[in-house]
Amino acid sequence: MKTKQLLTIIAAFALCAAPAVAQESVPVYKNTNYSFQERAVDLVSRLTLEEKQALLGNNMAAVPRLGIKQYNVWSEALHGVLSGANASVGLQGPTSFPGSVALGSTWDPDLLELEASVIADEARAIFQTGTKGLTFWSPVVEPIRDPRWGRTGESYGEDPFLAAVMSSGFVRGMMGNDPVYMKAVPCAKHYFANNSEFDRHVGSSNMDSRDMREFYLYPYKELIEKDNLPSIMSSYNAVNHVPTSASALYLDTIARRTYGMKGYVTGDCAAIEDIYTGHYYVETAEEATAAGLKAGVDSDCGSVYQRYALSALEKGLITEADMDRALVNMFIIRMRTGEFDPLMKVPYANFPASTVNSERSQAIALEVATRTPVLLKNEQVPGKTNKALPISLKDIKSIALIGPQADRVELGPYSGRPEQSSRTSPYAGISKYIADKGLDIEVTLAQGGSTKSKSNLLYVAYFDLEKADGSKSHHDATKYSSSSDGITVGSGMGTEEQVRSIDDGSWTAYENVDLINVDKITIGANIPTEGGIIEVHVGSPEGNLISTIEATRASGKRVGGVYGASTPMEGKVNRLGYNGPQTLYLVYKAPEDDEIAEDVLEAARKSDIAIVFVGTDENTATEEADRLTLNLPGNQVKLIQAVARENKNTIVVMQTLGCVEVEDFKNLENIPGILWTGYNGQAQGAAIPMVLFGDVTPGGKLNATWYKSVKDLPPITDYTLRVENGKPGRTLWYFTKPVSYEFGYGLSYTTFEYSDFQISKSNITPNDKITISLNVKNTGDFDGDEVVQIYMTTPDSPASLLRPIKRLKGFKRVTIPRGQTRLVEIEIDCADLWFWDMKSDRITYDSGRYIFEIGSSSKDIRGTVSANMNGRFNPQLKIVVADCRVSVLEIGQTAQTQTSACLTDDSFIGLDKATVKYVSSNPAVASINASGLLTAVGPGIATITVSVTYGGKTVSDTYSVKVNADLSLATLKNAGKSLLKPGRNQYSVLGKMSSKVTATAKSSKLSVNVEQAPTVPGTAVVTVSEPVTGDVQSYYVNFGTKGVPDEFNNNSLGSQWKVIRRNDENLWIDNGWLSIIAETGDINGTSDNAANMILQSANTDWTIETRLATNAVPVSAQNAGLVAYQDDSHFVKLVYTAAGFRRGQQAAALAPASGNVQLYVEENGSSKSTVSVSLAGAEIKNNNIYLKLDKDGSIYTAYYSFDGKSWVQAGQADISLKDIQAGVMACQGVMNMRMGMRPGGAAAAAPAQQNNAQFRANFDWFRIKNR
Amino acid sequence: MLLGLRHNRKLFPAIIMLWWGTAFSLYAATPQIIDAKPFDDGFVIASTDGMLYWTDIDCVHLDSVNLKTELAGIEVTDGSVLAVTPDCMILKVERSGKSSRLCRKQITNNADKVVGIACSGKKTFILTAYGTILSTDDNCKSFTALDFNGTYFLYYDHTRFRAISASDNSIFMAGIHDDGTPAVYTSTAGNIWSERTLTYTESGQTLSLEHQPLSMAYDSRMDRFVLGCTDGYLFYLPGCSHCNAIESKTHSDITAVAFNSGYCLLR
Repeated sequence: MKTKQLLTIIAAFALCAAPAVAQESVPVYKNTNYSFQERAVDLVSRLTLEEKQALLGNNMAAVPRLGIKQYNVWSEALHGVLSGANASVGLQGPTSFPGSVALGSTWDPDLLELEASVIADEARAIFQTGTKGLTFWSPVVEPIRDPRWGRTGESYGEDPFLAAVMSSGFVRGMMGNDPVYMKAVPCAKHYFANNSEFDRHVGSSNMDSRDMREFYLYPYKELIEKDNLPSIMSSYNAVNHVPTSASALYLDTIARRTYGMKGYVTGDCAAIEDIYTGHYYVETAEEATAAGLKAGVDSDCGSVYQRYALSALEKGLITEADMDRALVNMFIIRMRTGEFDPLMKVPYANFPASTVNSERSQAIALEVATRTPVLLKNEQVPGKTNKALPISLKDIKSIALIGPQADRVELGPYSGRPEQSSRTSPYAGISKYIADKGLDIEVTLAQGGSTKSKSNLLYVAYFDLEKADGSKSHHDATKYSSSSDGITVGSGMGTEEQVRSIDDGSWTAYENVDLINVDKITIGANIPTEGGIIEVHVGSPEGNLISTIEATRASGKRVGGVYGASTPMEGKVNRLGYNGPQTLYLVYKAPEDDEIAEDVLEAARKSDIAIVFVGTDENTATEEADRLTLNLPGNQVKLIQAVARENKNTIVVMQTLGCVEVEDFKNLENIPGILWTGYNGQAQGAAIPMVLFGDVTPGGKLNATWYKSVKDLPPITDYTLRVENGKPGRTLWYFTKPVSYEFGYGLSYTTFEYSDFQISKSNITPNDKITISLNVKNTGDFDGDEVVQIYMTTPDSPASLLRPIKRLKGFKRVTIPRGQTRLVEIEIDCADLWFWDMKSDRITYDSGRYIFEIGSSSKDIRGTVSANMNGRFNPQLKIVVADCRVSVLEIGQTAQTQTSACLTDDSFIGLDKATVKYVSSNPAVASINASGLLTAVGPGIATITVSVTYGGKTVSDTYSVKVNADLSLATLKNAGKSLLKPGRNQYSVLGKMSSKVTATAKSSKLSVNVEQAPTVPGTAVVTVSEPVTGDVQSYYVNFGTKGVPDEFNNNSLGSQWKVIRRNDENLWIDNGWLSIIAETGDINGTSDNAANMILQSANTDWTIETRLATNAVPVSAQNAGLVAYQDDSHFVKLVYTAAGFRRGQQAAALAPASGNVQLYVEENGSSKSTVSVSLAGAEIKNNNIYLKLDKDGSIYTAYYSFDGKSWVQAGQADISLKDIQAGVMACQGVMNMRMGMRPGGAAAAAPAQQNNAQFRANFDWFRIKNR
Repeated sequence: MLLGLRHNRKLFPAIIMLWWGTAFSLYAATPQIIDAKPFDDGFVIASTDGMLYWTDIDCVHLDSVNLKTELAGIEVTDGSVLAVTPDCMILKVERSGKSSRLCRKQITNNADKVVGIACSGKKTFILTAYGTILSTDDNCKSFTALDFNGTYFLYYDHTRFRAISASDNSIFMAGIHDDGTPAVYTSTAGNIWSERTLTYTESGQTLSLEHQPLSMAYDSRMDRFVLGCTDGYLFYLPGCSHCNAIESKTHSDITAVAFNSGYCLLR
């Protein structure tokens, strides 16, 4: 051998890894007697730096040595667990409940809590199959600032009060009501002001602090302060040019220290990357890592943290404590789900797989779906006396169900994905309803019309021009010289810059384009939804047309979706004789609408009633894609109008993601009824007949303003709310133009009369709670629900302050049987009536009259009450946050406690104005002085309580620290002689002197246990343990006698040998050779049955050597050689074994010309490592090979040779063994389950090799030389 | 009008599919191309019969070396090619044709075979089908071995591996679970591994990758890993773990994929 190979096998060498632990102690992180905070700190203290880095992303790595399972922080459950069926674990597709905009229209937080609770039940059932985590990035709590926002359908409403109250129902339902454990973990997103999709990665939502606090942050404040919200997601966008994911102000100061959030912050997916690649807020990935971590983003849904945290650490941009803090926040949450606790302690641990889409879930999905619809119009049918709705089935013989949504089930984004059999379309639901009633009514389905989106027609990246001579020129489409209004450039979640926001008629222009002899144009375009026509003009958008490319879904072009990249699309160019540079225009047009089919009109014409089902779908707008128009997509308005011309009793049922323009049909006489819902879940089709036919009276109210026209709105990028310089204001707070339907609007089959308006106090302060009461009488002919709404105005506020026109401050949905009156009482916390004072940066209350308008919508006000507000506000202490920025300390280390104290006006006080007390739960671990300086005293866990007293009120916070124990030995002696060597955990003593060992630890607080060696040979085990934390380190002192070599020149084994599982039939000595015929079995893995292991005590350090000759080259798993053996589960084997075989080959059929030398290490019954050295090509005479194994402490070094002189190092292993014996062995071996491959490629269930030819190992000698 | 929202962000490359069968038809039929890597302004391509081909960016053949041994994978480091055989002989090959054995003998699990080699920073990783990860940072003089399936027994589903690829700070391994579902694991230093979720969003639905990975490449320009899969699919794994994407490129299995300056080479 000319080249040495050094194969180093590192066996695990870690705390707690030693096989013998004298004193059983539960580590703190597994000990339920400690708080989750203490346990999380302890767990993090045990992680290596590399492990910490690997746990900082949403794909949290498994750490088997600590029992940490892999965990994906990312799951979604906006209206059902985002998942499909998984038959392998017995799961159906999760139930799809009505979505957020539908739920927001119920104005019923208790109903939402019920829905979320069932979602959490299903989440638990799925979690138990191991296929998903329990942290869900739901709900979306951003208020609907602009209906064009692509995720409007994911929000609960326009007024932040409605959004907050409804979100609260979701949060409570998900979390459950156990005082210790959470059923599931909701996460409010996207923090904050993230409601324009096209620029969400790079845009800055600019606003003043008043809009920020009163509108955008309000739902977060409410959820954190009132519901202990356990998580928020920092958004992609910047706010006022600072990325939210890099802002300590937004995340730490406001979310944690002002509102008091205890939990984890996840960055939106790629938000940390956007800090440096989108916002250019910093330059490098390491800096982005530091910005995110220091701002307070604990988990990166991406890979920046997991790739760059350690290099950021090396560069001094972060500290290990920054990583620890993030991980502690994350692990506290995981622990609060019970993941690290015995199942019997976790009340939510027993949901069977059958919970998912169970009958109960389906029933609740239906119940909720009946309570979301909003009746927008209900007038008399032309020529008749009855109102359009409910439809009286006894009076009709035929119904036409028309429209693209008539037989579709549109679930909306982030939904559970139930099986098709669980989804009911309107056509299916109505047909079943009529059949179940036994009615003789003809139901005709005539779908007609389409929902083809005319927004976001295309994303265009480039165009290439090819001349007749084959030469090409490449043009970046995003580098246009001019464009039509509204065009944007972005890459969204992808990496390709594209021209976006392309509407019907949009264009982009490119100057100085050489068109001479150009024959072909290739446009790199992506079709996000339906696509469009690209016309190539010269000179102007209406100039000469030289090419047309149909880039549509209908033409068969590839549809990439909103995340997709461009695909080349070719078009022939008509040469028009251009001889110089031209300005080229790409003009984008929507495909022509289809005409309304005659059979649709015929169905409408011949039926007693025509019900037109129209709406939006996920192509209309979605994540990454805002709406450019508020029109119903496709030709649906034309369809509605056409049907209405044919049938005087046309009912329009809309299911949309939110507001759509309805002015073109809402006032048509032939449309006496209009019903609307948001995406209404899997039972949408079953619910709709119950509403249409009067089993249920619709009681929903619009959760947002329905504007007359998109033209009434400011640009979507404008995040300011108030009227300024002619710019219209936003939302019901500030919008003044006429609307189609106001916020809170919704009719009923019945009527309600309001009376007896009362307010409990006429003079109020911010510290009061008031009750507004009234009587509501159902004066109509149907039982029904009414949503009583209370809006606040402050007419005495200075006009210069531009206070909102009105704000929602209370509501209640009540069910009132016909003819009955219900007393409705709505409590209002006056502290909630605040405004934000931008000058003093705190909450304020205007003095004067506060008028509470009580109504059925934001405009249908039935009465008012008022109270006078005393604006002098004495804020009280609200939130105290304390930490010392370090979670893990070494003894002697100090850390300064940092404390913030926030008042109920959301301002901070200096601690010099307060009394602050610090108390350590365990001063023996961590002491703390009156100034908050913490000193690590001894090993263990301590929790520091910081109490701040201000204005007579005391508020406390705690933080925990782990002080690491130094588990190294101070002394280790045998017979008065010190054995101690730094860094060593295994010692050897040769000779039959006293085997008594004494040892001391470096700290007297540590427990030292010495299990003396019973005899020599024998092993003393010294265990150092920290009694509180359970940290353990073991040391072996092996006592042994001199080994006895054997040349096998006698006819029997010498007395030094012991034979394990002896079988003399296959074991003999002859002519100076020890021969073993290999029997079935091995000691690898679970096979502890190798026969004829020839062993002698070798419990010191040594070198052992043998010359091995086999009758044949080993095949399959046959092996023979040297072994250092503690027991069948702890050993080091250096053997001559078979070479590998290839997939698809029968192992027994192989006839390799040579074998391998293999060093195999097993600890605790599991393979720690295996390294084989192929002998292919080597000249092995008569299958003779020399093996040598050298032991030095816990280090085993393996060698092989072909002549006994020239040795090649084969590998090295590190493993602590005790009571060691050494010797030789031979066996047929066992195919590792993972090694065995059937010809088909499946893993073989591979018992010991049965059919191998005899394999005989002959050992010429066994030589042992002690050190 | 809104302009230049992401100016200066990484430019998306013009993907040009260079079909081996047409651009380099001499070797289109047999033997099989098993790996390709970017090399200077072109590619270096390995075939199972031990041939290495250097090409320019348009896949025009420039140089070749016959190593006369079956190859399992190649990696480019410091201007040289590291080639590994199925039984784990590692060769260092210069474009000039000069080659040397860094490890003279096989370093592999019994009955196992090497499926790929990748370099990340100063470390070279060799992956076997059964999940042994050998790493060396001293020019193949010594190796550390990690038995992936053993280490993560009961923590990750047992996986048979097919490809490995690396960037300066990430290592990705791809394979299949015992039930045939695809699996990808990622690590920064090769010691701690996280399983990557292989879901993607299409038409608003979250779907799971169903095609089995056969090859893998790191696209440095996009800072993403790309799986070459059965049935001609590429599966993109960008830094954002939520942002996987799938693309159908051909109907044939993609046994080799490489990116260089926005050009994509497939086989």
